[in-house]
Amino acid sequence: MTGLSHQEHYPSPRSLRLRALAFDPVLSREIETSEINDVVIKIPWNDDLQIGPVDEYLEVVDYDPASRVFYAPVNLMDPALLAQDGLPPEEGNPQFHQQMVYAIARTTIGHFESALGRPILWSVRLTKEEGTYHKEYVGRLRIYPHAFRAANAYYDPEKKALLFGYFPASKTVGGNTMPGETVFACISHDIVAHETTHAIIDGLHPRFIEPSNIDVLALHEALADIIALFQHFTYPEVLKHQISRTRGQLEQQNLLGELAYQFGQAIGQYGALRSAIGEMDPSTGEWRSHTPDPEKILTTTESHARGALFVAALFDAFLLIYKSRIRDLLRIASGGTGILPAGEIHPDLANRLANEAAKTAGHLLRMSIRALDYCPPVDPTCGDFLRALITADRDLVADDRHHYRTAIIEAFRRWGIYPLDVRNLSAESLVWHVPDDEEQAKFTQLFGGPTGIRQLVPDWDMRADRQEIHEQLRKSRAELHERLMSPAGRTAAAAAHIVLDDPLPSIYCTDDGVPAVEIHSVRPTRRLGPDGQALTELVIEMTQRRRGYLNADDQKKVDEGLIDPPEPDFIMRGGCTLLVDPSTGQVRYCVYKNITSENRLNRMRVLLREGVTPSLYVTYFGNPYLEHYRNIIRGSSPDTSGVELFRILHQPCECQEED
Amino acid sequence: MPPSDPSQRIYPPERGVTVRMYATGFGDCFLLAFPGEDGNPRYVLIDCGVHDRYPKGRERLEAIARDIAEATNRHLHVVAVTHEHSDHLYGFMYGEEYFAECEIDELWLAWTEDPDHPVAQELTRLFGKRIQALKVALTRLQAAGNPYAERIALLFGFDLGANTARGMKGNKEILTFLREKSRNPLERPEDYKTPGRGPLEIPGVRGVKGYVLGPPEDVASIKRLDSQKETYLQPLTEETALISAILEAADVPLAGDSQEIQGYPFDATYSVSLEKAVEMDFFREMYGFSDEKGHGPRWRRIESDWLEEGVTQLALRVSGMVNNTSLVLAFALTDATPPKVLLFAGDAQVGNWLSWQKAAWEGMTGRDLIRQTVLYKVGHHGSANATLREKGLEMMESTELVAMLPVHQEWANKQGWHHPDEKVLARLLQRARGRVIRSDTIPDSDSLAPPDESREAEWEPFRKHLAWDKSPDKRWIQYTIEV
Repeated sequence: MTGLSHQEHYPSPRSLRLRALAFDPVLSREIETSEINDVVIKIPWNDDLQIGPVDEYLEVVDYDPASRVFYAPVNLMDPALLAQDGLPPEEGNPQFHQQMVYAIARTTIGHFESALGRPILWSVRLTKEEGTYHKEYVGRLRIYPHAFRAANAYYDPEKKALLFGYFPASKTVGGNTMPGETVFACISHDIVAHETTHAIIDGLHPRFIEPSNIDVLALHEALADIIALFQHFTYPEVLKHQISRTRGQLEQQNLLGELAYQFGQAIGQYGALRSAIGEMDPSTGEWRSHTPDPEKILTTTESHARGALFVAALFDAFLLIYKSRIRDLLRIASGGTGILPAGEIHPDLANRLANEAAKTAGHLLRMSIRALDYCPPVDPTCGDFLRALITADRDLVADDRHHYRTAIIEAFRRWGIYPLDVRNLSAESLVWHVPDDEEQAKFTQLFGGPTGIRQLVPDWDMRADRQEIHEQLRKSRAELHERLMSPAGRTAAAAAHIVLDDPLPSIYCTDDGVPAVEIHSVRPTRRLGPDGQALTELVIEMTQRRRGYLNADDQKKVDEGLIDPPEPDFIMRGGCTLLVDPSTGQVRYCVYKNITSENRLNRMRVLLREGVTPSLYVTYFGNPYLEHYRNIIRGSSPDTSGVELFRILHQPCECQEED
Repeated sequence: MPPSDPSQRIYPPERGVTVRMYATGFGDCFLLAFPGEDGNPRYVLIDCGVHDRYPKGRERLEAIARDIAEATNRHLHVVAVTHEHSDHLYGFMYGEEYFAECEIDELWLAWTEDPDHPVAQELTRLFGKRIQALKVALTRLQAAGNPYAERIALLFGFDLGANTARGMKGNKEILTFLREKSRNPLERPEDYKTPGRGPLEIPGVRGVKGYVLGPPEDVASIKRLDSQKETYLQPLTEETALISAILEAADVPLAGDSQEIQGYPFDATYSVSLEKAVEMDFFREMYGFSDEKGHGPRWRRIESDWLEEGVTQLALRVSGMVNNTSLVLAFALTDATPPKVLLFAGDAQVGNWLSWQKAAWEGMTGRDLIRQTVLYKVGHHGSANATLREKGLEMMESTELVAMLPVHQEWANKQGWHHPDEKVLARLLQRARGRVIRSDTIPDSDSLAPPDESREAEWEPFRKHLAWDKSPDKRWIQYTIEV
């Protein structure tokens, strides 16, 4: 078999090239955008890529139950496809859909892994056996590109699957969508990136789907949009084209700042589904940019609308940074005035501007992802996320030379998004709490200094087998749990704001009466230190649960020990995230949500009561927020379930009576 | 069956009206007694129903029908049926024996019941297709053991004609009984009640005008159920897609063989039929078709996911749209200045309510009627989206406002339903100063205490005008408005 051995002389390629749409099919129909819409995406080469496509992370299974048919899986390793970067973009070919949904999801995974410096893991599957829960490793996220006939797409945390729908476009569509034509969610770049992000965040933070405050679901949505938006900037042709078209002024209407163009049109909207920079005025048909309004967040309660404010704020930060970074280029190109002459801009200038935009967007993308490691494990608010962003950025870039942090704070202030628990809006006060010496001493008892910590650091890198990583993490969690329950550990728990002694009766305890603590994660995160050396840190998350009652009097009676706790109405969670430096054994930050906080409890009560818009659905099927907890409490769904909420996230919203 | 009881008779005041709410369980039944010019009372019956799943509904409604016959001396001058739901209609079936003994002068039905009305025809088509799809989908969900199946069946059994299968009459047949029974022929378009026409007269009664506020004569308003701007989905397009998908799936099991039918997303050449997929390693190992070894795990399959969500929404919309066909009647007692208005909202949803804002007659507008309401029959058992706020309850400015709420909260809650809505009830209690008369809390005692003692003075006139069934059956409670 000389032929075979001969082939082995060639090294494997670095990447697999796959054709995809940078946006969605309609942009291929516009003469101006058709050339940039068709992009070639590079994903890491994998000798074991199977038909489906199926790889280590993803499995595309194309079953269309509404039509009762399957669509044959594409073989991307077929020489005929390898030679032409996969199938050409064809709306009518389901195999192209499989290829594209895979390529975009894989790209999104890539962004997360390079920002976090570790392989991502999907959330575990909880199974109940003889009353105890088991965490089952799930290696691959499943993707169903044609799962149902509806203008929707969602991540199903129970099936560990992305479900994409298809539907006939509205009869009143504008733009380039034909009335009644079939629109597919799985070939919208933005929708795929958005849903994949939901799944990745769920792997990191399964509690971020719980409606414990008004921001949680909004934040999930906002992050999914942000990742999709900043991913636009990673396609060089698209970027250059849009820079040229707007003459570098990205605050003008442009494709980079908009999401799901065809989807928006197909459901009868005037423009994109959502935009970070502006919107069409339906009465005049004219585009107008968003104006920051710090009051708006006070009256915006619906998750999408609230998430949109967060996205707008972060996009504003992007524009501030980008504008400051290109100021010199504009001066050079305009003989010092900074005002460009009318007409098209020079292609070289467009390239340079594109470069700056890509750098800025890339940094914000990385920062937004890294901030996830700096979030509390439960009950995050937009303010918390701002603090996480600032802290993450300070760790990444100690010297704020380009004023990224200032720009972010400025933009969030303009949109009225602040944390409630800081004295002022300086970067210093926004950075998370650094434990004092006394607390450090307690943590040292828990972690046993650098030597003790190192035992918890799993030994792996980006090439490690993900199931092995999962196993190692499980062992580290068990080890840490044991240490926490030792006498020394119980002292340290207080420093981490974990309640182990004299618990309120509403706090869930183990059979021996000690408050139950879940070591939610022990995961390493890598970053480059100030001198360019690679640093590995540990992110440790611990959580606790408490019975919550809608009636404050019931709560009081339970907490004062006057009555045995009846079945609760909801679960309140508390816990902490510790960022630990293994080389010193020091806890660098402690981000916590105290389980005993009455403020949080009250806030939650109000949200669960008032936060859901009345509808026929609520009349007959109940308040979905409360149902979420009820199902968990009654054991009819696993503790991390949230498929109803993900579905509802993507349903009609807004309230207001109109004429 | 208890013996007949003369104390059940209902007599109107000299000038005004007495409104008796029957406690049917979960359903509406209102008997209005007006003084006639000749000194004899005139009776208007609005709805008589109980939810088809309500325990012992038949027995209860039989007794109520007999009470009605006796209370009115077997003469109903007007019978109005608001819409085709069991909880507004089934009393006429369960109590047919007693209604058959009664004279019925006029039957009031909305234009939606006019078989020749073009919009009504459109609605019939709209409902027909949806109900057909729902039936198919329900069967499929039941077959898949999907937990949504039971919930939907419980809710919408009556919309799906499940009861005809149980040997009961269909809604239309019940209406046919009433049509044949009544003296007025419903033949011409003007025999049906349409908003903006009229006002209506109650034969032999002066000083009362009947205004028809709903249902609005356009499909878009009927379809409008919630006060929401839909930003992500456009239900109508989607609904059509879902309906055709369900029907296709039922009629054509092998989609791979037939591309004639609209709705399939791809050309047939790309499709792999279920039978072929079972034979393919890839689909067997990844997706799976049984619990045997070598088949993909069941927990990741998506057999009925596409149905449970869509069908739930579809079922809710169908039920809501039927609610929206409610005949909404406002009776103005014109001897008072300003007129005192009784508002019977049926189960009207948002689209129906909003249409009243534009209604106008000579010397009267829809807005005036809402503003001057002194008796509000709470819509849809007090659910969250059947009592509008700014364009409804908040406009009712009379200090005499009283609300009548037909509901059985305990039973509804047991079904997992939220009747009445906590917030709607709270606001009703505020606006009506505690004077919310519920069919599930007919007092045990001879008297009724105000919500708090400080209200004693203003409560007194209200109490004086209340009366209720003092028998253990507690079949009714009534309120009299004098002018």
